[in-house]
Amino acid sequence: MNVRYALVFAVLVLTTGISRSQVSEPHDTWLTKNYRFTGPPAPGEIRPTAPVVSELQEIQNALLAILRKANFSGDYEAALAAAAQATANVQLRNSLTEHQPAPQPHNTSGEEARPKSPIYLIARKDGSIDAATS
Amino acid sequence: MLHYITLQGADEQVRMDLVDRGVSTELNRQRKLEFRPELRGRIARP
Repeated sequence: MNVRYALVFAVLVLTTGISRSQVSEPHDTWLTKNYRFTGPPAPGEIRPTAPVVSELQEIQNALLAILRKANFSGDYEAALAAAAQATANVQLRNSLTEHQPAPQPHNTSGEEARPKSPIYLIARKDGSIDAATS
Repeated sequence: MLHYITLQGADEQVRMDLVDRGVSTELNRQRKLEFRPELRGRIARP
């Protein structure tokens, strides 16, 4: 009986010691051990996103919001229309990014890059949504 | 009639009664744009 208690006590002491040693390890140590940190990317390494692509991303977010709302409310016709439009949007965005020109020197004037004309969304009563530049 | 140019460059037109003004207004409002197709027959002028 005493041997059994001693054994249980020893196991408890050992497991407590193991878990304490794991907890007491500083978080930074684990992070630096498992991840390798690099410096910031070189200038021009990251390809800038064209303003129209950013606009399309905003449109895509709106379309996906419509898709979720329509799906949630059981309006599957609208959900399908939004899904079709979102698909076309992705295809358009892909074709634009494929033909995107080479990165330009970084704009240091502080001006935010915006498209010359905004992109408007036109919702039709048949559920389709058009994106228009003007 | 609402005339507009799509992102693909196509010249489109749609009858105003076929446009869902409520949804269009809301979609553009979320993107901080004002949807007023009655202005000069076009949705926007840069």
